[in-house]
Amino acid sequence: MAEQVPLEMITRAIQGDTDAFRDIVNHHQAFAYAVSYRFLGNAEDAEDVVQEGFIRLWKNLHNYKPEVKLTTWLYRILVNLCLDVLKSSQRKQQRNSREVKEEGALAHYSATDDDVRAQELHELIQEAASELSPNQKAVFILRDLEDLTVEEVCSILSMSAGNVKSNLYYARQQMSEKLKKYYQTTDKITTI
Amino acid sequence: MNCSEFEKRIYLYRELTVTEREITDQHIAHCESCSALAAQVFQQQEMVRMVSSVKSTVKDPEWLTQRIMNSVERKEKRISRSDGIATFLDSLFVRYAFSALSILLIAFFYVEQQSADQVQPIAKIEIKEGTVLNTSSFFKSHLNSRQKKETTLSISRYSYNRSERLVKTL
Repeated sequence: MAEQVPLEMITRAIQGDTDAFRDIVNHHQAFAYAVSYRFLGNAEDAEDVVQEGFIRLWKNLHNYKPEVKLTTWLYRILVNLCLDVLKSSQRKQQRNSREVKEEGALAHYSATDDDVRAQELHELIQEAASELSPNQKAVFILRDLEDLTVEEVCSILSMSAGNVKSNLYYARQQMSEKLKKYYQTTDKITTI
Repeated sequence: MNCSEFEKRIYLYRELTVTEREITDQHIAHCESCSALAAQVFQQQEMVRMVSSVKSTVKDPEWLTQRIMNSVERKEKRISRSDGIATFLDSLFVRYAFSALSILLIAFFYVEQQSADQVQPIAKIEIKEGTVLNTSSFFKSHLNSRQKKETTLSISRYSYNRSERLVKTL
């Protein structure tokens, strides 16, 4: 999860200071985009979701409670928007999975773009995740890829711990099947 | 506990409590199939963890920030404009002006109503008792109009015959 922004910055943004809000956007934009991209697998859609997410954050900033992390709040907004996009059109989802394959080489990676194997795995997991149900996908991304705690996942998705674990079990099982198939066909399991 | 229950625990190993892990570890140590599954699942989870460090980044972060801020500022302007209209409508002067206008309209409506009441009613024709209605005048006028119609019909028939004859001679 991204580092927290100073409370003073949030307070100034709540008072209508757009410069303070710009700092918040700059601070959280990378993580917001990474999460959205993991859900949607498409740069254009991810950018749209990030934009809409920050607009929603700005509109509702006056409801901000300091006891809740701003990142948790932003996660909730982004995940809801991503799930809306995923649920809105099955056709779009299929298109996205195709684009993941096509755009794989064009996707921009931060520190490990030289690691071809990681990139290949990234594409494979992204593709496998696109076949999960929206809830399974959300739980898998937040818990396994974003490395959030079960409590954080529960809070973001408004789900019980039992529900999160159940979705996680099915998601990991499916993911395992996909990875097994892939490494059986390409015979790469020995290289990992 | 049977193997299918341990299978679920293997997939959810990270979420298990310390005691649950100990029990699962003991089972894995003695069960061949669960041990094989655990080895496979843990290896795959390691692969997923490796992927979690790979994060897609925005091609042009500054452009995206500007795009977000533009839409935020556009929304702010719209809100402040509607706020301006709301404050104007909420001012005391506008309130008094609207009240005065309403009173004027009510007064105008009342005056209009009054003038409409002054319209003279249509004079009633009083028919004296014992008067017998004379229908001969009505029939006279009816016969006159019928005769007129017939005359025009014969004139038109005459002119049609004449034109027909003219066409023939031509």
